[in-house]
This record gives sequence, C-alpha cells and structure tokens, in this order.
Amino acid sequence: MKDNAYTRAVDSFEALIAAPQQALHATPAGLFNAAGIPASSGYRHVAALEAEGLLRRDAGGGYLPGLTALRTGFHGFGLGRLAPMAQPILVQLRQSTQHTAFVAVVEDMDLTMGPHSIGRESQKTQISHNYSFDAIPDFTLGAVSEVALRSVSEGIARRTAALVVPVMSTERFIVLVGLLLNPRRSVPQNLEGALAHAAEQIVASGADD
Amino acid sequence: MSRDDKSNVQRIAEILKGFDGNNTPRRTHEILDDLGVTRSTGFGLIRALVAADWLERFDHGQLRLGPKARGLIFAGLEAPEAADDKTLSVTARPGSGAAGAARPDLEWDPALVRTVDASRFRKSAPYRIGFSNASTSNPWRRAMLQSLYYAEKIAQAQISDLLVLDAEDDPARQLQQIDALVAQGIDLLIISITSVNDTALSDRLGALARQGLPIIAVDRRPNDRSSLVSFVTASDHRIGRICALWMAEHLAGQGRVWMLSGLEGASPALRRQQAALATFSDFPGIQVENVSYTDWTEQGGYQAIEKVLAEAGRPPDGVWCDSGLQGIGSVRRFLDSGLGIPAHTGGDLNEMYKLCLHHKVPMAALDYPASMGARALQLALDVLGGNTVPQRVEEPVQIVLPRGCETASVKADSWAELHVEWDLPDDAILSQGPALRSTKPTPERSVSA
Repeated sequence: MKDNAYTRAVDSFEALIAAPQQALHATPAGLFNAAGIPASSGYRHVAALEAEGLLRRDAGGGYLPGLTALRTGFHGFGLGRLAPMAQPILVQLRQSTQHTAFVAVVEDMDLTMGPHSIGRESQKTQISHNYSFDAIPDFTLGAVSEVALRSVSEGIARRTAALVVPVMSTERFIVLVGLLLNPRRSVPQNLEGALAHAAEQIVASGADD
Repeated sequence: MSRDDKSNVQRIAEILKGFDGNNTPRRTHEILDDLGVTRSTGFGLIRALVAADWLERFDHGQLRLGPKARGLIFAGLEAPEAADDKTLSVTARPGSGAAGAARPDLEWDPALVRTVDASRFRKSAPYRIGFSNASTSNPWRRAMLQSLYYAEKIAQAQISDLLVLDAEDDPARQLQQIDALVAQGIDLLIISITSVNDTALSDRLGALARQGLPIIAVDRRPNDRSSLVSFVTASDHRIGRICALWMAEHLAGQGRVWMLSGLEGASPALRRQQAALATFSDFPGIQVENVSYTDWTEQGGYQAIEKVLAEAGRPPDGVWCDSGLQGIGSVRRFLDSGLGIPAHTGGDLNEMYKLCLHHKVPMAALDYPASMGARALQLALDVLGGNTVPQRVEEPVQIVLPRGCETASVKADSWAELHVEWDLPDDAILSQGPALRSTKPTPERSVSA
C-alpha cells in the first residue's frame, strides 16, 4: 500500500515536470489539471516544485521547466559544468541569428535534445526529445558542420537540418551546440561564425577540462 | 518549516537535487540522512524512483541519476506558443534579402560562460538574506524590488528572513546600512550599489568578502568586482547599442539626434551611453547634438527637452533615451509643443508604450528587466546551496518594436502592440516577470539601520 503512495508521488512529479513542455499553462490550476492531479494536492505540489526551482514562470506567468531541472539534467549526464552556461549561450545565439539555438548530447547514433531557445527563423520546426543520425557523424571539437537529424513521433518520421559544433566530449558523450535551419532558406553565412564563436568561448571557459 | 511537513513530491525533488555535477554515485544511507525521513519512507521513495528510471543502481547500494533525470535537459527557455500568441512572421522581415542582408549581432561577453564554485558557501536552509538597495526612487527600482519579494514568496521555505534597506541613493547611508545588515547575522548580502566609484563602499565590501560573506550585486555593482560572487544584470551595452543602431537606420543614416541618459554616475546609464555614442559614430550622417541627464524621471526628461528645445529652436529627428522612465517626459514635452514627436527609443514603462502607440511615434525599446530582482534572490539560494553559479548573470533583453518599425539590422522579438498592457497602470514596469500580475502583492518591509 505504501509503495503505491510512493509510486503515485513519482507519477505526480513526472506529470507536473512534463506538463510545461506540452502546452502553455499560465496558472497552477492549468498546470495540475493538465498533469491529471486533483486540486487538493495540486496547488501544494506546484508551489513546492517552483520553490525547489524545478518549475519557473516566464514574464507572462506561463510555467517553464526551472533552472534546477535543467541543472539536474546536466548532472545526470555528468556534465554539470555546462549547466550555468546553457542559458546565456543559447539566448545569445538565438538573438544573434534569429534561429532556434540548442544544446544537445550525443551518444553513439542518438542525440538527446537539451535546452533550446526558439528563434523566429526556425520557430515552425517541431522539436523532439530524441533524434538519430542518418549516418555515423564525424565530429571534430570546434568544427561546425551541417547534419540531418531524424525523429519519429506518432508514426511520422521527420528530418530536421541543423548546424552543429561539438564543444565538449567525455568517454561516453559528445556535447553539441547547434542551430536549427530554416528549410525554406539557404544557410546564412553568419550562422557558422556565430556557432564557432560560441564554441571558442565555451572551450576557453574551461568547460572542456 | 519542519521537514515532516514536506510532501513526497518535494522529497523527490530534494533527492534528485542531491547529486553533483559529475553524477557521482551516492550511498543510499547518505541520501536518506540528507532527506531526514524514516527509513521506510526513504526506501519506498527510492524504490519508486529506481523503478521509474529517475535513479539507477550503480554498485553495492549506490545510486545515481537515471535516464529520466537526464531527460530534464530537454527544456524550452521560453514558453511554447499559444494559438494567439505573439508570433513574429519570418516572411515579414524587411531588408532580409541579399541586398539588405542583416548584420549579425555577434557580441559576446566572455564573463557569461565563466562560473564560480560556491561550495565554500554551502549552508543549511533556512537562510537570512540582506538586500542593500540603492534606492526606490523610480518605478523600475520599485518593480525590481517587487520581483525580489515575489521570488521570496515562492521560496519562503528556504528563507527565514529577508532584510531590505533603502539607501535613497546616498553612499554614506548605504555604508551604515550594510553594517546594520551584517550585524543582524545575514548569511548573504545582495547589493545594488549607490555609486560605482565610492571607495569606502568598495573597501567595506572587500573586507566582508574576505571575512567569508558571499555578496551578489544586482543592477549596479562597484567598479571593483573582486568582492562579488556574482553580478546579476542585463546587457546595458546591448540596450544602448541596439537603440542607437535602430535610430540611425530608422533615420537612413542622416539626421540630428538628442540623447537623454539616466542618472549621472550610475553604471547602467554610463554603459548605455558609451555604447550608443560608439554606434552613432559609425554613421557619419548622424549628428549627436547634445547629451542630457534626467535622473530617470519623467520630470527630468521633460525639463531636459524643454531646455535643449529652447536652445535649438527646432525639434530633432530622433531622441535616444536609455529608458522610457525619462522618455515619457520627452514625448510629453513634444506633445505640449505641438511640433510633432520625433522617433524615440526607451521602454520599461507601460506609459511609454501607450504614448508612442497612441500617437504613432516610431519607437524602439529594450526593457531593462526588473525581473533581475527575482533572479538575484534565486542566485543567492543557489550560492548558499553550494552550487556552481555563473560569474555574471544577464537577464535576457527583448527588442520591442511597433509593427512596421523594423530596420535592416534590428528585428523585433516582440511587437509593441502586443507587449503593451493597456489594462495595467501607466507606471507598470513590464519587465518584472510574473510579479507584474501577482494578485497578492507582498507588502514592503525593512529593518532599521
């Protein structure tokens, strides 16, 4: 019986953490309703997760994953040093290029999408949690390259073009900073420079120790 | 708050937060000791977290973060768009063709990717935090304070006391107030400094830092930053430069510009002005005729324009303001003159948007985020939690333009017509984050110095 209570708590936690990624919720009630949690405990849980930094609210009051959630994700990969840098890097890249900027972690042929900042040039591109590569990628630290990412959701396979630069590697993972490309436009020349510049700064900061 | 009051959802959050940046495996009993719960509850939670892949077993009773925890890196930094949201059309970009290719904005402050290991400041909550505030003399500063109170309300379980003192722009008073806060046993000091060049203040902060007090500056920092763990700000350089670039391009590189800066001696005003002057110097046809200080007040803006208008005898082509705080005074002076209102820059204040949109004044605005108050308090909790934190935190600054006012290089992040809040008071500061529409404003508190 007790185990059920713990399992329910984990389910509630998981649903509340996932809800902001699926739709815009501007009130606690909107968030816990979407997560399927009753009001009797919903307000308390939302307040607790916001206090712990796992949820946060944007200027319009909409819920977002909190910076502590992001940090925990990086810690899970053993890449904690990158956590404080992700937001400034991505906002700067997005503002510089108007393209969606992201950090992603590659393991073998799989790419886990990380934090991202939506730019107007690629705002129509659907972003998935996970991608795979069409071919084995040949990455060199600091070298910008264009890659095709493949994702499958609800039985539909999609290809997404991105410009990426590896900024860090461990025994198991390669960390990429990237920009999603607009399929209706040619690749602007400034994108490569912006990514290369970002990579230089990250490497110079010592993140690739 | 008693640890027994915590829900299992909150305990789960604490368990996940307890792993370090290398995901070093932790022994089960360590996790349970930190959690402070009965063994049956602790083991029940851990079993459920392992079963759901939030934790994974490593070796001989050790645990580390699992695949679901790794999945937390999938995080949009902005809210997903609603159907009727402020979508900006890609196809509506003027000057984006080959002939009018936009210049990239590739500035990068290396300090943004430097980090500080705050493990030496780790303490157990709840914390006593002091905020030595430069002043509350204008709506922006009051909004920044409100955002800090909002963050305190969110994190109230971690904060026993938040002591706030207002120096009223007086460095000597601030020096006394810092001592008063320290005397009350604060765990961390947040400061927005009254004067960047005041050596007595800098020296006092340096001494406190050497004694082990963590110090975070917000909005205004001392010239000597060595005493600071981190500095929460926004890019004043970007605000000054983008506003000047928009003005120069809006005027097609030809015209007379008047500049209205904020408070003389305040570091944000200085950096915005320097950036703007450097940008204007790239346009030989732009003539900066005068620079005035306005104390970031409507009255200051009104009087400055009145004075230079009397001297010049005719209005300029554009007025560069580093904020709408004085910008509204400028717009009102031109309205009173009946001479027509030139293009303006400067956001922050709801009234600036209302005035410019109502009178169809071409404008560009970059709101200086008052939400940095909340960010400073969140950062304070991160520091006292012993996390690695950024040496410099820049709250993002959005470019806000009325429709049709984009230039070759300056594109809108948000349309002014959608950014303005017609139902909110004129003195509302739109950049204070969720505190703006907080239905239960926190009453201001202070302690005596």
